[in-house]
Amino acid sequence: MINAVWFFALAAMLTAYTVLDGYDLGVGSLSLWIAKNDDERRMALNSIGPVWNGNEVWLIAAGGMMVVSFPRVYAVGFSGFYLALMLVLWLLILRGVSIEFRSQSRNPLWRALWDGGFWVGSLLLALLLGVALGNVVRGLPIGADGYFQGTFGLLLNPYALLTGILTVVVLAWHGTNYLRVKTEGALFERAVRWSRTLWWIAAGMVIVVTIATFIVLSGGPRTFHVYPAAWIIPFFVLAGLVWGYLSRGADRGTPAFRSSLLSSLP
Amino acid sequence: MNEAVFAHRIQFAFTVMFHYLFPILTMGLGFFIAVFSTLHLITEDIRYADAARFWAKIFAVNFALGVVTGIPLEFEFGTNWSRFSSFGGGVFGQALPLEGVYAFFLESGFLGMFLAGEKRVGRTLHWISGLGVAIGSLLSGYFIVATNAWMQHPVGYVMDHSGAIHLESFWAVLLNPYAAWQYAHTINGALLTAAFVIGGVGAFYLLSERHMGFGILSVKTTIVAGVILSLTQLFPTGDLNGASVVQYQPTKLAAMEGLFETSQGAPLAIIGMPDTQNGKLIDPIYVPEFLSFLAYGNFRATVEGLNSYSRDLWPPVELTYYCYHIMVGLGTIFIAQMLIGLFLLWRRKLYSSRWFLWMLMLTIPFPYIANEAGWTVSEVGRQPWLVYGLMKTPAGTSANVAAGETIFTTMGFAGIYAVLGVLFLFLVARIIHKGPQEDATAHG
Repeated sequence: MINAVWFFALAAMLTAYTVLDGYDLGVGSLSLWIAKNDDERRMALNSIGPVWNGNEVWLIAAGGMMVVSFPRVYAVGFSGFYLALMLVLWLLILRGVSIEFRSQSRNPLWRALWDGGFWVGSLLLALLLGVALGNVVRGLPIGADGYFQGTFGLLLNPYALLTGILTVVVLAWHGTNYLRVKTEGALFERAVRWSRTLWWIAAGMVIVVTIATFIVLSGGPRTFHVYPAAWIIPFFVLAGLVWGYLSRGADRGTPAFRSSLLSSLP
Repeated sequence: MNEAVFAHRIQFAFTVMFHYLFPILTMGLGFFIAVFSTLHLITEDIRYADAARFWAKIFAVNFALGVVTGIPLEFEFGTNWSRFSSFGGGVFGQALPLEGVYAFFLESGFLGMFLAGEKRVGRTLHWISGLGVAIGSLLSGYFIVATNAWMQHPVGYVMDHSGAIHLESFWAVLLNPYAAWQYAHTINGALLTAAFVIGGVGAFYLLSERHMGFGILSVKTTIVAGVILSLTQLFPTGDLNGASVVQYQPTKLAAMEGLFETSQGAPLAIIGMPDTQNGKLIDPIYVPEFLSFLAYGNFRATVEGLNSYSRDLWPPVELTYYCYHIMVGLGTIFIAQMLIGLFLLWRRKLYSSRWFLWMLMLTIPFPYIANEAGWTVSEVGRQPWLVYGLMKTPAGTSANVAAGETIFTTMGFAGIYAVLGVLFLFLVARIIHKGPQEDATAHG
């Protein structure tokens, strides 16, 4: 029973991390294209500036909680996916440092360097998050001792890459909705337009990944048969998408943000 | 030693020592910024506000680097030390995540507010946020020290018939007797480092004849605080931290003091080079019977030497011994420096004694070395134990991670951290070069 409580607490923390740092990563993934000049880049960064650190903490807190609540899962999981986790760490460093260092100098080369770092770090982090999610759904070969029995290359299988792309798109959509709430001017206009476009791509990817999931897990995810309550997850996704469509008007920034948050929750 | 075990140890040691350079200043400087901020609130003297604002800029860069280099460490408990985490996570995990919670949620939240500036958040909130940052960092320091203290002196657990351990008392873990003075000594070290950094930068300005007012304030702060802190670093915090070692880790004591033979009225070696092969110190200078006095308060007490223990229980003697002596040697130099500074302050010659200001400026790195050396004593001296008395180091590694993988990631970290280190120095140098700005609009 207590284990169930820990599990839900852990799931809640990871969910919080995804929807909060999700928009940071979304903003970052689009940053080079959606923000066209120094002022707009600064505006985009300032929108996440005060909160990105706190948002990232949910990931740390989840990891820390795992140490005490599920030490064997933590141990087996983290050492089993060694290279993947190290890559995530290095990307977190790149993303964090890029945000904090950019404003320290007015030199255009300096700023361009950290703009690039911010973009690459955010994009790859979003992708890897999705890859991890896809591998959890798909299942991975685990040995009798609990350790992962594959290579790093196995982690980048086609299904996981698809979920990776889905995550990039959904988080980017989430990011544009965040910008709709937090910015103004030309950046705001672009965020509204991109939000609409990304909605279509996100909806399309949801369909693609759903089909892929049924192919990869022959017969569909067993979870739905065992726990009918799990149907709430795709419901969230659909509800979020529908609400997102209804919020495509320029002035509907806040409801749009809430809708993409809803979709990211699952 | 097994190559994989060595690789895991090098990776953790390297990443944690590089990371720690930043929390030292975060914890120490946070305190001083809060003090400056408070003094400004009380005295309305604008110089204190300028000082708080200047140091906050350096604090921000320092904090960012502390955060990004700190996250890998939490992961490394799992990636490189999985068997240790699996074995002890249920117990020491009580303390560990609280460091993250306090450091990040509290500190970064308040830091954002503090950096936004007084004019944006208002006087009172600005002051409170300064306090929040200082308290957050000091609190988070406690939890990480408590985690380490558990490794030095495991408490609060119960072992079942299969050899697995389970948490028995959350409060026993949090209030581990080993932790209290270890924490005090660590924090004192951080405050002392911050004092030296403040004074060193102030000395730089005085020597360059720029920002003289700020320079004077900084140097005076350093001398006043530094006299107290350098003395308390030795006594009571150093002495009582050492008392924990005497009580709970006799092999560490013997190694750090270079005591091979169990002796009644054991002498204190001021200097000397350990010759572990032959079990003696080369060219030592001793203070007779003094180690017995320091350890037990009695000149005729018996202190156990390394020879009382089997060889496989000896920590690496040379590294432990030298790091300990480096730390104490530097600590003694700090006391001398601060007392000289106090004397000059009393004679009103402090700000014009160029030789002293040069020394203050050049010794900025020394407290960092002393802090890291001290931690090396703590960790290397605990060997061969990972958890003292419960788990030996080679038994705690991630057996499924090959040496080659770890060497690859260590090189990756080394490269990234080399770049970050250079960038850090560059950015801080720029801030110092620009100097403290009088922000006339701050009180609008």
